[in-house]
Amino acid sequence: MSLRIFSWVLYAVVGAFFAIAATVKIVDPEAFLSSLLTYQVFPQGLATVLALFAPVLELLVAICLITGILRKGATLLTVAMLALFIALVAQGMVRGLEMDCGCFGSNSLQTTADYALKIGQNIMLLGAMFVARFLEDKK
Amino acid sequence: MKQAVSQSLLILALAVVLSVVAFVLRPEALPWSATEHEVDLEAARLLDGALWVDARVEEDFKRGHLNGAISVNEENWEMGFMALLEVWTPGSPIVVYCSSQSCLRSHHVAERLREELGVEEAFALDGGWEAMVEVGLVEGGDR
Repeated sequence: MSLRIFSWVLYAVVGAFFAIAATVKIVDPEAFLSSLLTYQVFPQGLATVLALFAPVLELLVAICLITGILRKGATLLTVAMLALFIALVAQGMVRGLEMDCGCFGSNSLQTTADYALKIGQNIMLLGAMFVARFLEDKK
Repeated sequence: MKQAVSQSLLILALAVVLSVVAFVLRPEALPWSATEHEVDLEAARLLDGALWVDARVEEDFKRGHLNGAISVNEENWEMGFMALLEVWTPGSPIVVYCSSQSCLRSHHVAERLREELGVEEAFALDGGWEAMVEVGLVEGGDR
């Protein structure tokens, strides 16, 4: 497999993750808002704004990653969103919260293993983005 | 890097525009304030003759619930609403709880009860089940 195709596959996999996550949130925005409130970081007003805005941004980023349109910008935003998400989940773990990550519908985080799995999953996506970018620059 | 930043700003701007459009098309899709028709535990316990409603899922209700509370949620609405009508005295307040402060189910059920019963005094409990566990009103940490 050429580097170019492998790079696209990585972008497409991450893009697909974001597209599915965004669709679930767009279909049921209240469930996502409920999940955001379990992070105990955002006040209700800000959480509502995020519940409106984040799924739209995720979907746009997914489209850009898969199609290649504005891909550099989409990559930067993906990395920023993943890093932010890892930080939000980590603070929940440190504070011992019972959270619902809201990633793909209801996704309860209660034990340290749940948290570690979710953080690991996002670190893998982050890694995939860096590898894809590296391969794209190399070709 | 400069290109990546300018492209990301473009995507962000587009996301803002689309979010505003989504909001204009469906402004009622999300609640902006949960404090209206919300009551804290202390005030709820002082409500004279209040009927308590558990809006959590059936399995949580079976695991444990406030004494005298009846289960009414979106999933069992028909049955739960009929059960409520059997014990509710018209004019008496209703307090609806769900699992925690972040849970919005109690707000939905309280709103629907206000609409269907034509009453104003159907409140969502601030803090929900967790608040009741904290003060020892109910036992256990089950959500």
